[in-house]
Amino acid sequence: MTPILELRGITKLYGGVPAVDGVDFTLNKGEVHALCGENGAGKSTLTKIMAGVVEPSEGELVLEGRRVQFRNPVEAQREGIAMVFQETSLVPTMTVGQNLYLGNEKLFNRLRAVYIASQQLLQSLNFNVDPTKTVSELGAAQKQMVEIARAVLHKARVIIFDEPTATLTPEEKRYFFDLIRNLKGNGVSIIFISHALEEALEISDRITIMRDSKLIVSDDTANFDRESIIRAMVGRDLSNTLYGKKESVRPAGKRVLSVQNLRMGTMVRNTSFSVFSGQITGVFGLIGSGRTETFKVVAGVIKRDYTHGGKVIFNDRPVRYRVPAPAVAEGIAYITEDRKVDGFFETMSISRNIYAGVLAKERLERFLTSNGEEKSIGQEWRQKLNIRSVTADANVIELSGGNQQKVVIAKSLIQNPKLVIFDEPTRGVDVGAVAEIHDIIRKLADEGLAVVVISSYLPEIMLLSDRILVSRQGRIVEEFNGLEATEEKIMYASIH
Amino acid sequence: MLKQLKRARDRFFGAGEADTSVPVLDGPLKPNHILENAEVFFEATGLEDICITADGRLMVASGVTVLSVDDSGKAQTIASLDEPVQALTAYSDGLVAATSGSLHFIGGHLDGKQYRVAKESFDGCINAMCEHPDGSIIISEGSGRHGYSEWTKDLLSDGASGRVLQYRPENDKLDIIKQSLKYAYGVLVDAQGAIYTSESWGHRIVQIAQGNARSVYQDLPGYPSRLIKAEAGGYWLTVFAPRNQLVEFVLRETGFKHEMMAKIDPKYWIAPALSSGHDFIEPMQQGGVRQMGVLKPWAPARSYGLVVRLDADFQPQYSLHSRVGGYNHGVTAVAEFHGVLLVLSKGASKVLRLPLSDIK
Repeated sequence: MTPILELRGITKLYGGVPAVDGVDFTLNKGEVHALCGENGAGKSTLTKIMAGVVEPSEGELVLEGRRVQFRNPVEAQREGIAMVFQETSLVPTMTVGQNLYLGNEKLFNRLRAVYIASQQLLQSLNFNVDPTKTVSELGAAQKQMVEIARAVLHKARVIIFDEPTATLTPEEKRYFFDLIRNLKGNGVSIIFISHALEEALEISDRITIMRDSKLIVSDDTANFDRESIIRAMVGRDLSNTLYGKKESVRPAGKRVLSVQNLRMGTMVRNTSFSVFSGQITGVFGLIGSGRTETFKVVAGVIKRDYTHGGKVIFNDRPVRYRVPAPAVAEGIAYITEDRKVDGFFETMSISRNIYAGVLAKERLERFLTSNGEEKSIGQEWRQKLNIRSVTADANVIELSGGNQQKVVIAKSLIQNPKLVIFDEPTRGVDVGAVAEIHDIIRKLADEGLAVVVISSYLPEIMLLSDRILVSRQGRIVEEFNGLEATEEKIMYASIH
Repeated sequence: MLKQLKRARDRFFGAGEADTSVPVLDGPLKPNHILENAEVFFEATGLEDICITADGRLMVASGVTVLSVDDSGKAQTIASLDEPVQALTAYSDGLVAATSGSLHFIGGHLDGKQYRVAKESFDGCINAMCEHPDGSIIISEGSGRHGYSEWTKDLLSDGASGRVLQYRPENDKLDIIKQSLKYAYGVLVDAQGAIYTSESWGHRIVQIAQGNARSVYQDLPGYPSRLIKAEAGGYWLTVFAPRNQLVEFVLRETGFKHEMMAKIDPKYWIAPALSSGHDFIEPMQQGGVRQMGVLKPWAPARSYGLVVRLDADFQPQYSLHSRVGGYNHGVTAVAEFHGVLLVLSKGASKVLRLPLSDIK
């Protein structure tokens, strides 16, 4: 096959530290190429170099036999290379149609024509998005769809997708895979970054694996299986650590949380359950089953119904938090599923973010903050949770997903909680960091804390949980012991 | 005035005393069918209490008689009293049985002794006893206003006249240790001499010290009753009926309750029961829900069978259940006997046998 894009000896240094180190990479015409690796392995930097977002320190890019150099994304786009980012780059105050044609406007534009063309494009891609809606009104999945449509509209020859399926529902994922196959059929080459290894195995023709800024292996997908990918990604065999069989469960300690007949709008409907100390309580449910909302009510992130809203008893005392601050002060830590929006201050350093956890808990007691304390706390938690960054005072935005998640966890754990609620703790996190985060969760339960893990990923729930609660239509409908649960039983309870 | 306003506010918002939420049976209390599937060891009418004597014999209170039952379930009457026995416990080298208003010593050095409690201090609702290491007997009295068989009336009347008493046989002295309890039902003295009682209408177990009651396990999903020490450490607790939102709601509707008690036969009251489902005109047997187009029978449970194994800190470890569709309901007593757990289901008039090695 003819390579459309070649990277030769590409290196990118940040402050002398290589983010990509001497990588040779080839993308063939009309192929789907999956790029796998742990967070921080260098995948995003490599693709950003291809898309002109980042300039390489060394090496060269060859596009259809021509040596090229991109100084910005517009230059790459002109050459037919488009990138669909994990965080969408749409203008939130403009409509979908306006966003699609942004940068391609004619001298005189007729909005109606733009909407008609946008509608046709979106329909041809099977995306159910209204082109007249402003982008800020869209959900994460729909924003992703607009981004993809924009790449298709620009007639890109190479499209780079960075974690495109993380926010999509199973139905939307199916359409997305069909779209990729269509694009491939039209001769478009696709680079696909995903932490969901099953997706990489399903959709790609070739897989390239990166580790520690280097390219480890690049081969046809047929020559890989899940285990070999993980082994190449982390340099050790993690399969059993990650999703091995559970042999024992922790006994229940004291009842820390008792939720009785809780109601919140149409999302939480008369749900009742308990959480015990010294145990990991897994909560599984399909999207829309109300599991996140239930625990957000518990943590004061959202309010329960004002009339007949039920009862929440925390440490033998009825509580009704209207904001998270009193919940934090009394020992409830909720670790959000959307870390980028609610989890951290992205332009602040690791230490400052963790220190924010201290300030949130002791908000009335202190008027002055201490830089020394902030640094020492940052140092302590970086070591404790093995938070890796290029520089000690790196901003959180510069960290990989796994390390960002560890910062969010550290920010909550520093508050000495009695109940820790992890909502999708390993979403968008690479396998190596998944194992580390799982270890953190287990350690908390071993130390006697009450731990709740909400996850849509069944193997994770089954591996971690001592008891599993299944949520359906706004209430907990089933409870399983960690040893007796099977994927079939849990899935059956979550649907029927 | 303020109380009335608060009550009106609570009723509007469904909060505070108008909140009818009940805790769910989950975690260590997750329902199973162990009690329902248990082997029947002994059956008799009027079963009330069981205990093991100091010399290792199993004693069962059944109606007006006290029976000695051997390993095979063969019974022999050892005492017959004038009134039904309400509580039974081993005491020193013999037994004590409580009837309405009297304590009867059976066997041992005090055989034949009777103690008739003065009417002004005692209303005949003794429901459990245990021996204190100092030689006295600790007694729980559920209500000062209603007799033992009228416990539903006490619940619906918001009863809070229960007491824990201490009786000293050597001088026939009866002291009040704690009063104004919401139906004291079951007493226990630990190795250090600390006294615990179940407060049924308070849904909790309390430790009583210097006239104060401190919760050690609270917000139970049912009405707790008798407690005994487990041989392997920790305790066994029986829960004689379940809580449900309908009953909680009725308990807050004063006018409705009073009218119901005045006009309706007690067996048809909307109240917990030791057994239910025998009569189609029982309350709550005609409920139904339509689910996915199918009309399914549904009714909140009035009766249930539940035994809870507690650790030394009174935290539940695991539990044994006879669920709503079962029959072994209204469990009021347990005893460990030769490696088995004997469970007295008052609702089914049976003693059930569960090998201890099997149930954990």
